[in-house]
Amino acid sequence: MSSASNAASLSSREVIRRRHEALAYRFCGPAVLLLGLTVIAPVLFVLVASLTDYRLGRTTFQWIGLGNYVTMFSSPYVWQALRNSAVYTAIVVPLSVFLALFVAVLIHGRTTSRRFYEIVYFLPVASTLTAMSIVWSYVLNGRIGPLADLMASMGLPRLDFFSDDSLALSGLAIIGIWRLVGYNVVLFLAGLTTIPAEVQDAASLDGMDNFFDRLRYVTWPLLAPTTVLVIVLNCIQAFQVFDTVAVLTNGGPRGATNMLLYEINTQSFGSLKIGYGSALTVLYLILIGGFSILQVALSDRKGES
Amino acid sequence: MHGKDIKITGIRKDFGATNVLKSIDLHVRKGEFLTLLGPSGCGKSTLLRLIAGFDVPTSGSIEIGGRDVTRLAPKEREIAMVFQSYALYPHMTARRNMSVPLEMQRLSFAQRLPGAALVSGKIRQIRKEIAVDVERVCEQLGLASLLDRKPAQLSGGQRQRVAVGRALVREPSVFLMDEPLSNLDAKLRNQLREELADLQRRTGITFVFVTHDQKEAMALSDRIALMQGGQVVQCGTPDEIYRVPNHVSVARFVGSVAINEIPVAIRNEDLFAGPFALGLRAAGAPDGAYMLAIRAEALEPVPQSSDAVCLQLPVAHVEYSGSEVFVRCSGRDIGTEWIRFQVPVEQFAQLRAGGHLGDTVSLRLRAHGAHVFTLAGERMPAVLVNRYETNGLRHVLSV
Repeated sequence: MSSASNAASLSSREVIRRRHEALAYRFCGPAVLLLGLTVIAPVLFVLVASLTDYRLGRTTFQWIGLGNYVTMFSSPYVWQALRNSAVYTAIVVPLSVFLALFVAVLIHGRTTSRRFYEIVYFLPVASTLTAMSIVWSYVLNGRIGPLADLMASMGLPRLDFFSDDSLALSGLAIIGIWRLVGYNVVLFLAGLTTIPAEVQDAASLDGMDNFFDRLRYVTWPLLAPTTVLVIVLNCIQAFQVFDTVAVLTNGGPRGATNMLLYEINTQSFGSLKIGYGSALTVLYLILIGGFSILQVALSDRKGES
Repeated sequence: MHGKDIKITGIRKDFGATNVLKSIDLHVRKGEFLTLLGPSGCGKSTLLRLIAGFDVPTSGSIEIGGRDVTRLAPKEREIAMVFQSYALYPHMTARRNMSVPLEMQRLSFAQRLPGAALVSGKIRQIRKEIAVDVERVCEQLGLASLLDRKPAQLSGGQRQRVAVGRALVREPSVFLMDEPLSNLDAKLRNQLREELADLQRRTGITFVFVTHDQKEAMALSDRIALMQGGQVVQCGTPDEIYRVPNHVSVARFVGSVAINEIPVAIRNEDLFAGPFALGLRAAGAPDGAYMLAIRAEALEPVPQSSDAVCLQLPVAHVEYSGSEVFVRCSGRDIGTEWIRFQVPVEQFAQLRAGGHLGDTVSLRLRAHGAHVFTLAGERMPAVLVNRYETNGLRHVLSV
């Protein structure tokens, strides 16, 4: 009797569990659908398209296997774009991480003026980069720009960043740093609030009260998880640079600022070679994916210790 | 190592419009264990932070060993501190946690640059001395086996010991502790309490200890400064604080069982509570209304036939706790809520068997353990004595 009722209640519990499961799937449904339509389907499309010679506007295409990839890796433009992207990242990331760490620690120490500085440093992130690029093109202009005027008044040569192929990439890097510092400052400030006040007190008691000692022995080590996150996010963003290239240099002069995303744009929508552009996009996805995996791996390691 | 005295004069601290410390005068003697005791929000931690130098007082001065340190940086005050959360550096091993303070003290900025020890023999020598000093402190505290672990790999008690070690290596004159035992379980707390007492005796450093636990304060301190509402209400030995509270709030705060408060009237030096004559005399006290505070152990249940003057109260609740029995009576007849007292189990059994402790109980009040305060809470200077006689002997138990 009792075992029978047990079995009955067990099976009714099972029914309820299944009903909950079904409900859970229904709740996930819209998100899964959206993710599929906006992320997974386009990625699949790009993967398929990269195996064809499809051109925008045509009604036919042919399968060419890995032909696009062969073309891609033998193209000097692709290699130049990759090199430019790498150099740009190598300039922008370390400088914007260190500058932001510095600024964040300084801002964190302010009490009344803290809000003001937070807003000042965050403004570049909130502004439209396309519009700001035009302001920067004026600032960095060799003939009418205030920077060139300033350098001339000190007896230095007038640098014209965007017409000199040895300087153009640095010019873009300056704008990139200007924008990323603000973004990083916000992340570092968030990280700083997680450092316990008592540890800071202990540090000042133990004699770590000058700026560099505090940074070296306490603040930076405790910000290690934040730093890893910031570096990876910055690498991704540096590889994604496009607005400034498109507005200011169009990849020039002589390909000096042609970067990966701009090359994809040129090939896909300039030359209308969707198939080839898709192959480039796959390369781009692999690189960005690599950074993301690196970040997950590094932050997992932090979580264990 | 030897301690230095701390002289706190007229310290006031405001945070914005909020006044946290009113006007603190306190002299911590050389080599003494002084506890700042009080409920949370009384300003004890703020005072400790001012002594440490994390905050600057709004007015007043602090001297350590005769040197005015009011505006000196924490590291220049010859003090060390153990924090409630231990505040160890989480990314450093226990050894590093203890050696970093010494590196900061003995090596210059340039000497601490990475690789500097490779070029200079002098730096290597100093680092060797630091390692020796760390080892010595570790042996004292039994930390040797834990040196290469990081704080996350240590238990609460071990972290606490490393924190004490980090404070000790710098050979401070004053040792500040902000509720260092409150994050530990009861057994460990008792053990570390003893270790701290031994440490203080052995080193002769001046200890200033902050706690809200009056038992801890009683057990450890040479003297207790009881704080309330941003003021030191009383400063004295644990015995003085317990036996001669100078304010009703002090009497309320110390003692493991809540003190009983009875509104009383004094007429011709005799004390009355409602209809009862209490058998207590306050010599020289003017007539009027007062507050009597009496400890649970100063209430003695007596047989109801006894001719001694006593209180008769209805029993509300009986609670056994091993050797003692706690009894709670209704105090409605005498104008208060509850009256609590305790009796040894055997005596309780006897009284109950004799029918003297049932629905009601008769209580005799002992002058020893009773205090009279004005309605404003100030202690009455009058000496309280019992006025009943037994066996022809006059009991005069003064305070």
